[in-house]
Amino acid sequence: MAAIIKTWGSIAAFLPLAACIPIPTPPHDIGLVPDRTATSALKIGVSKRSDVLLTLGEPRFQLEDDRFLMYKWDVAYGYIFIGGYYSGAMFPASAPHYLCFEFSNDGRLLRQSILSGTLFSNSEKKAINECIHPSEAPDVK
Amino acid sequence: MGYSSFTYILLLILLSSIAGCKTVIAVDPLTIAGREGFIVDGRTQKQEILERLGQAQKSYENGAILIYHVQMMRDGRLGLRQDKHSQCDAFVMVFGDDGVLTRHSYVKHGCNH
Repeated sequence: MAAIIKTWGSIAAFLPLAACIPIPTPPHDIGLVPDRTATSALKIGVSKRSDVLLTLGEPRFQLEDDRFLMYKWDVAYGYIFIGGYYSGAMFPASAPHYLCFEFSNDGRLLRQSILSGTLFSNSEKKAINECIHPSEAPDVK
Repeated sequence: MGYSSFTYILLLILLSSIAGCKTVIAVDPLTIAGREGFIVDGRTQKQEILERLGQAQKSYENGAILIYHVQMMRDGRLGLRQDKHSQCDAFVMVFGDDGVLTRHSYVKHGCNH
Protein backbone atom coordinates (compact mmCIF):
# COMPACT_ATOMS: atom_id res chain seq x y z
CA MET A 1 0.00 0.00 0.00
CA ALA A 2 2.84 2.36 0.94
CA ALA A 3 4.47 1.66 -2.41
CA ILE A 4 1.26 2.56 -4.30
CA ILE A 5 0.85 5.81 -2.33
CA LYS A 6 4.48 6.69 -3.01
CA THR A 7 4.00 5.85 -6.68
CA TRP A 8 0.90 8.00 -7.16
CA GLY A 9 2.48 10.78 -5.16
CA SER A 10 5.31 10.79 -7.66
CA ILE A 11 2.85 10.81 -10.56
CA ALA A 12 1.01 13.76 -8.99
CA ALA A 13 4.29 15.64 -8.85
CA PHE A 14 4.38 15.53 -12.64
CA LEU A 15 0.91 17.08 -13.05
CA PRO A 16 1.99 20.73 -13.07
CA LEU A 17 4.33 20.15 -15.98
CA ALA A 18 3.13 21.78 -19.17
CA ALA A 19 2.23 19.49 -22.09
CA CYS A 20 2.54 16.47 -19.85
CA ILE A 21 -0.41 14.12 -19.61
CA PRO A 22 -0.29 11.38 -16.99
CA ILE A 23 -2.66 8.52 -17.70
CA PRO A 24 -3.16 6.25 -14.70
CA THR A 25 -3.87 2.60 -15.34
CA PRO A 26 -4.39 -0.36 -13.06
CA PRO A 27 -0.95 -1.68 -11.98
CA HIS A 28 0.31 -4.18 -14.51
CA ASP A 29 3.58 -5.98 -15.18
CA ILE A 30 5.83 -4.93 -18.02
CA GLY A 31 9.02 -6.45 -19.37
CA LEU A 32 10.11 -9.95 -18.40
CA VAL A 33 7.97 -11.21 -15.56
CA PRO A 34 8.63 -14.31 -13.43
CA ASP A 35 6.00 -17.01 -13.81
CA ARG A 36 3.85 -16.55 -10.66
CA THR A 37 2.29 -19.99 -10.88
CA ALA A 38 5.73 -21.56 -10.93
CA THR A 39 7.08 -19.46 -8.07
CA SER A 40 4.09 -20.27 -5.88
CA ALA A 41 4.92 -23.96 -6.33
CA LEU A 42 8.34 -23.45 -4.72
CA LYS A 43 8.31 -24.65 -1.09
CA ILE A 44 10.34 -23.25 1.78
CA GLY A 45 12.68 -25.91 3.19
CA VAL A 46 11.95 -28.28 0.33
CA SER A 47 12.77 -26.61 -2.98
CA LYS A 48 16.42 -26.22 -3.88
CA ARG A 49 18.44 -23.62 -5.71
CA SER A 50 18.32 -25.81 -8.78
CA ASP A 51 14.48 -25.81 -8.67
CA VAL A 52 14.45 -22.01 -8.74
CA LEU A 53 16.94 -21.82 -11.61
CA LEU A 54 15.20 -24.58 -13.59
CA THR A 55 11.90 -22.72 -13.19
CA LEU A 56 12.88 -19.07 -13.62
CA GLY A 57 16.14 -19.20 -15.55
CA GLU A 58 18.98 -16.77 -15.03
CA PRO A 59 18.56 -14.33 -12.13
CA ARG A 60 19.42 -10.68 -12.39
CA PHE A 61 21.72 -10.90 -9.37
CA GLN A 62 23.57 -13.73 -7.66
CA LEU A 63 24.90 -12.62 -4.31
CA GLU A 64 27.16 -13.96 -1.57
CA ASP A 65 28.22 -17.18 -3.28
CA ASP A 66 24.70 -17.81 -4.62
CA ARG A 67 23.13 -17.64 -1.17
CA PHE A 68 20.80 -14.98 -2.56
CA LEU A 69 19.28 -14.90 -6.05
CA MET A 70 17.24 -11.94 -7.27
CA TYR A 71 14.93 -11.56 -10.27
CA LYS A 72 13.73 -8.19 -11.47
CA TRP A 73 10.73 -6.93 -13.40
CA ASP A 74 8.76 -3.68 -13.64
CA VAL A 75 5.22 -2.75 -12.70
CA ALA A 76 3.59 0.13 -14.60
CA TYR A 77 1.09 2.32 -12.77
CA GLY A 78 0.31 4.51 -15.74
CA TYR A 79 1.82 6.28 -18.72
CA ILE A 80 3.05 9.78 -19.26
CA PHE A 81 2.74 11.60 -22.54
CA ILE A 82 5.00 14.55 -23.16
CA GLY A 83 4.32 16.55 -26.27
CA GLY A 84 4.76 19.86 -28.00
CA TYR A 85 5.46 21.35 -31.40
CA TYR A 86 3.96 18.44 -33.31
CA SER A 87 6.07 15.85 -31.59
CA GLY A 88 5.70 13.77 -28.49
CA ALA A 89 6.87 10.83 -26.48
CA MET A 90 5.30 8.37 -24.12
CA PHE A 91 6.88 6.36 -21.36
CA PRO A 92 5.55 4.15 -18.60
CA ALA A 93 5.42 5.33 -15.03
CA SER A 94 6.88 2.18 -13.57
CA ALA A 95 8.54 0.88 -10.46
CA PRO A 96 11.04 -1.97 -10.29
CA HIS A 97 10.04 -5.08 -8.38
CA TYR A 98 12.35 -7.84 -7.19
CA LEU A 99 11.84 -11.45 -6.30
CA CYS A 100 14.38 -12.36 -3.66
CA PHE A 101 15.37 -15.93 -2.76
CA GLU A 102 17.60 -16.96 0.12
CA PHE A 103 19.10 -20.44 0.40
CA SER A 104 20.64 -22.42 3.23
CA ASN A 105 24.10 -23.95 3.13
CA ASP A 106 22.69 -27.16 1.69
CA GLY A 107 20.96 -25.23 -1.10
CA ARG A 108 17.41 -25.42 0.28
CA LEU A 109 15.06 -22.46 -0.06
CA LEU A 110 14.93 -20.49 3.20
CA ARG A 111 12.96 -17.43 2.17
CA GLN A 112 11.13 -15.98 -0.83
CA SER A 113 10.00 -12.36 -0.82
CA ILE A 114 8.86 -9.65 -3.19
CA LEU A 115 10.53 -6.26 -2.85
CA SER A 116 8.74 -3.24 -4.30
CA GLY A 117 10.67 -0.23 -5.51
CA THR A 118 9.26 3.25 -5.94
CA LEU A 119 8.30 5.03 -9.11
CA PHE A 120 11.18 5.89 -11.44
CA SER A 121 13.63 4.60 -8.87
CA ASN A 122 16.33 2.29 -10.03
CA SER A 123 18.09 1.84 -6.74
CA GLU A 124 19.35 -1.68 -7.21
CA LYS A 125 21.73 -1.29 -4.27
CA LYS A 126 18.79 -0.63 -1.96
CA ALA A 127 16.91 -3.67 -3.25
CA ILE A 128 20.01 -5.85 -2.86
CA ASN A 129 20.43 -4.62 0.70
CA GLU A 130 16.78 -5.36 1.48
CA CYS A 131 17.15 -8.84 0.03
CA ILE A 132 20.24 -9.61 2.09
CA HIS A 133 19.01 -7.85 5.25
CA PRO A 134 15.20 -8.34 5.27
CA SER A 135 14.77 -7.08 8.85
CA GLU A 136 15.85 -3.61 7.70
CA ALA A 137 13.34 -3.54 4.83
CA PRO A 138 9.98 -1.89 5.55
CA ASP A 139 8.36 -2.90 2.23
CA VAL A 140 9.03 -6.63 2.30
CA LYS A 141 5.86 -8.60 1.51
CA MET B 1 -20.66 7.26 -23.46
CA GLY B 2 -19.15 10.74 -23.80
CA TYR B 3 -16.39 11.65 -26.18
CA SER B 4 -13.84 11.96 -23.38
CA SER B 5 -14.67 8.49 -21.97
CA PHE B 6 -14.37 7.01 -25.43
CA THR B 7 -11.00 8.68 -25.95
CA TYR B 8 -9.80 7.44 -22.57
CA ILE B 9 -10.78 3.83 -23.33
CA LEU B 10 -9.20 4.10 -26.77
CA LEU B 11 -5.98 5.29 -25.17
CA LEU B 12 -6.02 2.43 -22.69
CA ILE B 13 -6.46 -0.08 -25.50
CA LEU B 14 -3.61 1.56 -27.37
CA LEU B 15 -1.38 1.49 -24.29
CA SER B 16 -2.13 -2.11 -23.51
CA SER B 17 -1.18 -3.06 -27.05
CA ILE B 18 2.09 -1.13 -26.84
CA ALA B 19 3.20 -2.11 -23.35
CA GLY B 20 4.26 -5.69 -23.74
CA CYS B 21 4.88 -8.10 -20.96
CA LYS B 22 6.52 -11.47 -21.43
CA THR B 23 6.22 -14.17 -18.82
CA VAL B 24 9.38 -16.09 -18.08
CA ILE B 25 8.15 -19.65 -18.34
CA ALA B 26 9.77 -23.08 -18.34
CA VAL B 27 8.98 -25.31 -21.29
CA ASP B 28 8.42 -29.08 -20.99
CA PRO B 29 11.94 -30.65 -20.92
CA LEU B 30 10.76 -33.36 -23.30
CA THR B 31 10.60 -30.66 -25.96
CA ILE B 32 14.38 -30.36 -25.81
CA ALA B 33 15.10 -34.06 -25.38
CA GLY B 34 13.09 -34.78 -28.50
CA ARG B 35 15.05 -32.31 -30.61
CA GLU B 36 18.50 -32.54 -29.07
CA GLY B 37 19.02 -36.26 -28.73
CA PHE B 38 22.31 -36.06 -26.87
CA ILE B 39 20.67 -34.35 -23.88
CA VAL B 40 19.32 -37.13 -21.72
CA ASP B 41 18.82 -36.94 -17.95
CA GLY B 42 20.77 -39.66 -16.15
CA ARG B 43 23.08 -40.28 -19.09
CA THR B 44 24.64 -37.16 -20.62
CA GLN B 45 28.00 -36.21 -19.14
CA LYS B 46 28.89 -32.64 -18.28
CA GLN B 47 32.07 -33.02 -20.28
CA GLU B 48 30.05 -33.78 -23.41
CA ILE B 49 27.92 -30.69 -22.85
CA LEU B 50 31.02 -28.52 -22.48
CA GLU B 51 32.57 -30.00 -25.62
CA ARG B 52 29.46 -29.44 -27.69
CA LEU B 53 28.26 -26.11 -26.31
CA GLY B 54 31.41 -24.54 -24.87
CA GLN B 55 31.59 -22.65 -21.62
CA ALA B 56 28.25 -21.73 -20.09
CA GLN B 57 27.22 -18.11 -19.67
CA LYS B 58 26.43 -18.67 -16.00
CA SER B 59 27.49 -21.27 -13.47
CA TYR B 60 26.19 -21.99 -9.95
CA GLU B 61 27.13 -24.32 -7.10
CA ASN B 62 30.69 -24.74 -8.33
CA GLY B 63 29.60 -25.69 -11.81
CA ALA B 64 26.90 -28.17 -10.82
CA ILE B 65 24.31 -25.92 -12.47
CA LEU B 66 24.99 -24.39 -15.87
CA ILE B 67 22.96 -21.85 -17.83
CA TYR B 68 23.41 -21.27 -21.57
CA HIS B 69 21.87 -18.39 -23.49
CA VAL B 70 20.04 -20.00 -26.36
CA GLN B 71 17.28 -19.45 -28.85
CA MET B 72 14.93 -21.89 -30.48
CA MET B 73 15.60 -22.22 -34.22
CA ARG B 74 12.83 -22.45 -36.79
CA ASP B 75 13.21 -26.21 -37.00
CA GLY B 76 12.74 -26.49 -33.22
CA ARG B 77 16.39 -27.19 -32.44
CA LEU B 78 18.42 -25.19 -29.98
CA GLY B 79 21.01 -22.72 -31.10
CA LEU B 80 23.48 -20.80 -28.97
CA ARG B 81 22.45 -17.19 -28.99
CA GLN B 82 24.78 -15.21 -31.25
CA ASP B 83 22.95 -11.96 -31.84
CA LYS B 84 22.39 -9.74 -28.81
CA HIS B 85 19.21 -8.38 -30.38
CA SER B 86 17.57 -11.74 -30.78
CA GLN B 87 15.30 -13.43 -28.26
CA CYS B 88 17.21 -14.85 -25.35
CA ASP B 89 16.07 -18.03 -23.62
CA ALA B 90 17.86 -19.95 -20.89
CA PHE B 91 18.89 -23.57 -21.12
CA VAL B 92 19.43 -24.75 -17.55
CA MET B 93 21.23 -27.98 -16.70
CA VAL B 94 21.80 -29.58 -13.30
CA PHE B 95 24.56 -32.18 -12.82
CA GLY B 96 25.10 -34.69 -10.04
CA ASP B 97 28.34 -35.20 -8.13
CA ASP B 98 29.35 -37.78 -10.75
CA GLY B 99 29.04 -35.19 -13.52
CA VAL B 100 25.95 -36.78 -15.06
CA LEU B 101 23.00 -34.62 -16.09
CA THR B 102 20.17 -35.06 -13.61
CA ARG B 103 17.67 -32.41 -14.73
CA HIS B 104 17.36 -29.74 -17.39
CA SER B 105 14.90 -27.11 -18.50
CA TYR B 106 14.33 -24.59 -21.24
CA VAL B 107 13.09 -21.29 -19.86
CA LYS B 108 11.55 -19.01 -22.43
CA HIS B 109 12.79 -15.39 -22.02
CA GLY B 110 14.77 -16.70 -19.06
CA CYS B 111 18.10 -14.98 -19.58
CA ASN B 112 19.40 -11.55 -18.77
CA HIS B 113 20.56 -9.48 -21.70
